[in-house]
Amino acid sequence: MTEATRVPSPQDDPELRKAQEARLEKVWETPSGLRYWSAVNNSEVGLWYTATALFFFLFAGVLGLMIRTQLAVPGNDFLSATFYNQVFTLHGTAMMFLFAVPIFEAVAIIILPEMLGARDLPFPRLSAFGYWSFLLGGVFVCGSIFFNAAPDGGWFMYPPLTTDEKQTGIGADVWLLGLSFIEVASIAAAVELIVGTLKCRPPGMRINLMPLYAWYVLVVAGMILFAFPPLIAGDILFELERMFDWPFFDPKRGGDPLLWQHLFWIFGHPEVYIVFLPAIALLAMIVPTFAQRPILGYSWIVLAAVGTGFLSFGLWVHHMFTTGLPAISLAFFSAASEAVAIPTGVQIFVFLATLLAGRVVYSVPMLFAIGALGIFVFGGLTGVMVALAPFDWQAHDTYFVVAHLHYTLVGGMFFPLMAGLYYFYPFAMDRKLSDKLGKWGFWLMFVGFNVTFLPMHITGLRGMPRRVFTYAEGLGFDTLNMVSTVGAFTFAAGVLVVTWDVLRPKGKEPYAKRNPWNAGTLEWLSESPGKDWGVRTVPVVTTRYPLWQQPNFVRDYDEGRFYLPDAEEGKRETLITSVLDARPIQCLRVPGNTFMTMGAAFLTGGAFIAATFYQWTLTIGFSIAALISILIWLWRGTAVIPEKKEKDVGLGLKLPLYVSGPDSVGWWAMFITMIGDMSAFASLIFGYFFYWTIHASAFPPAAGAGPGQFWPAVALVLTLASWGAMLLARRANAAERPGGLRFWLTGSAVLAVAGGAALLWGPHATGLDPTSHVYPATVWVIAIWTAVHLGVGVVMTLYCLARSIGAKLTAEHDIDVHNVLLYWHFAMVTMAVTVAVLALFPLAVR
Amino acid sequence: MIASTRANLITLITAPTIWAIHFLVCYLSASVNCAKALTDARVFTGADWPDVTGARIAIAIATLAALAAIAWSSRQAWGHWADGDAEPPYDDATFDDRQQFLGFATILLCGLSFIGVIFVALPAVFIGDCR
Repeated sequence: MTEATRVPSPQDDPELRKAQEARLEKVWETPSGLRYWSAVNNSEVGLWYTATALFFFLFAGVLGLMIRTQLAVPGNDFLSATFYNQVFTLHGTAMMFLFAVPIFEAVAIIILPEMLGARDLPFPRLSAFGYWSFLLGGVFVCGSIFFNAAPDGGWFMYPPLTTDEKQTGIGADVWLLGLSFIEVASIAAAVELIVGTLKCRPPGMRINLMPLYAWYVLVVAGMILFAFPPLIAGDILFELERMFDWPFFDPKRGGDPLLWQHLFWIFGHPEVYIVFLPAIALLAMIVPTFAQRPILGYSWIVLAAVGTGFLSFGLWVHHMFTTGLPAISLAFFSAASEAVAIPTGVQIFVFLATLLAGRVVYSVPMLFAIGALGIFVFGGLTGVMVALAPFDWQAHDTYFVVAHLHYTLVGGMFFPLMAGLYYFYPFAMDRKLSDKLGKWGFWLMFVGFNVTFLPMHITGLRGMPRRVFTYAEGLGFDTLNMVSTVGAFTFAAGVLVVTWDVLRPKGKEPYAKRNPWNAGTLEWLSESPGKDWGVRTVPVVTTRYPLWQQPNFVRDYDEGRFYLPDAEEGKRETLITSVLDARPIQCLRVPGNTFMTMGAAFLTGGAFIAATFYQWTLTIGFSIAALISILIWLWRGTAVIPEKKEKDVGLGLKLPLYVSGPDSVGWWAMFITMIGDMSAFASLIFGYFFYWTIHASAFPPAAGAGPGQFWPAVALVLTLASWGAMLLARRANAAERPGGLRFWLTGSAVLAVAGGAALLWGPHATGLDPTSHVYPATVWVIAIWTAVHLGVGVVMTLYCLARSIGAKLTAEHDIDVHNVLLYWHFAMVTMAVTVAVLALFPLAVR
Repeated sequence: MIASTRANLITLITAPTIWAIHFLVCYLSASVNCAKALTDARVFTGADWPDVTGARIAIAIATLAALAAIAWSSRQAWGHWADGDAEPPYDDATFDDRQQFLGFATILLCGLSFIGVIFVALPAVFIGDCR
């Protein structure tokens, strides 16, 4: 960007630059003392998120060592059978839900904004809310084991074992509610990251110039939107059965435990790729740096990321090969499971080709990267084996599968993460980790891992089932298990070395030099020691590796010669750009530090925790308090009316400070959230049709059963009217008629309340008893889902009404009404589908 | 958005979306066919396994439609890719680079989806009943 340096610019004045830097520092300053915990900036929240996820990893690792200790010798009594069940369940649960997925969000929150030259993600408070939710939920789930109350049904919680309250105690509720709460936080993070990737790129960074990491984040966050909601839907059914005896998984009353398996694995298999792809994304940044050349086959990586993202949704039944589904059904999933090896392999070859074409600099991150590729390829090959149904029938639920999944997850996720840890540590913490300790850590882990899990393939083929707490002597398992245990402790020693390397005091060591690996992407612009402002100025990007390919880039950046070099008004700001071409469209004011998000998260968590103990009054109290706290947060921190219309963002560009509708990030967030919401709803509808397929005539029952057609039809008409009123409200607002706006908002709310009531009245009036059979239970759950959505819509509508009265919603400043109307479009679709399924489908099949 | 002279993120994912829909049609038609035929627990009576002819016909039609749609998408993407002055690896900050990059990535995804559709349809060629 020499152009900026040729033209005389105000940035030529060093005094001005100093003043700008002082202002920026003040605006973005990290609070000190207790107020430190009110921070919402990505660098703090991302750091807490990462540290917490790594802590849960260590916790779950100790559980893993307890498993290996118990299994070291036959007939061991180190752990009792029941406690062993809790230990292995919590090991899997914590590794997957509290480490593997959250660490993706954590790392992305730290590095993505600066990789995109943004000061922060568009919704920093949402990230903070997600973090506090994750912390509370994680501590709750993990803490249960200290009270002998941990979940003990395996990390995928199969009913009927887990719906039987005599066999499983409160642990199952802890699992369901604790994790549902965390899943909500994951979806929040996904929304944040999608909007961040699409709308917060620096000017000029067209979609073909986006760092590969951002491509992966986009794909993975999109996958979360379609993978997590089915599990939330499953959790709802599951908890309704445990708490209120609604028989979704009880075959005696028409239910079917297989539905849980479907919903769990529709989530669970994509989840494997949700943890794998972001880790591979780290390699996609590390490999070019250490090959000292641009990645070879950028488009092929995009193919691999997007292709894997899609194909991974066609694999879920390969976890259910032994459930007795027809061979033809199994074969579809087998075929897709083989097909997914194609894009997965493409990535590996791209990395190898890049390394071959470059001059490789050997270093600790590269060591972990190469170890990762080796282990992952091995796990991938056994994956191709178990994807073949006949082989899987032999290996299912044996230690062969345990070995396979650890090879894929440790090779595909843990080792790349360690590579990322060594690579990004100087970026986040200003100092390098030790090369020597890193090498020790790597070799201990690499050898220990293989010694642990390679023999398990044979243990499994010899017939040792997973999840047994002990085994008899002389079955051919003894030596193999002892070897695995020795390997596990070796692996743990490596983890300890790295943990020490991370935690040891480094105050006396010099700061790492800036861009210590000589990388080419924007995050390495960060100074050492780092500044709170994130980026000095939002750069103009015209290449894929600006630090390598744009002349004078770092100097221009340091001298603030790009956009937003200043914070004149004392506000936190970043640029919003267009999706494909990254044309600047808005200067976004992002909200600052607050304790409100922590409060909202703890109140929401309180509601989930109280529900675990069936404390209904407390649950309702917490829910109301959480709702109020979220409303206060929104009222004070969102759609803030700026003091002026436009702002000069530098380089002669003026941008609006307030935009609404599809131009605004809030609208995108609503849209993306509702996509996730629709996939949860689709999962419930899937449940309805699933029950229809397995019943000859009882689902839906013969004529005369509820909810009938009349009340659903009334509900549909009222909801249509409510939706229409919302449309008129927005129109009235645009025409500067606040009276009309308020009239139609009120009308919409009243009609929606009536619509929701009519929908619930149908099953009630026709006497559907949800505990009697799965049909009434399913009708009720879908009706309640839709009614609750109307209820949420009413709250939003009334919120708009209050904003209008408080002069925060006007014809010019109309973010709220646009976003709420968008919500209503989705609510309308939900209602239409509900009525079609509950009222019309029974007519069609009779 | 799907049919467009300008490549975008929707044109990019058209082919894998078609793959996903085709996958669902295959799975749902076969499993509904078999579930409905097996609800009388034929498996315990020793009678013949019910066949899946209905589902196979549906899958054949869906497969042809999906392959045709993917071919159409790749033809459109070919247009995006071929029409421009940018050079691989399309890493300049121009409209042509962006357009040709998206076109090329779309063609790759079309290829993967095409193979994927054939993979997923093959079971219906070899398996004729609900065993």
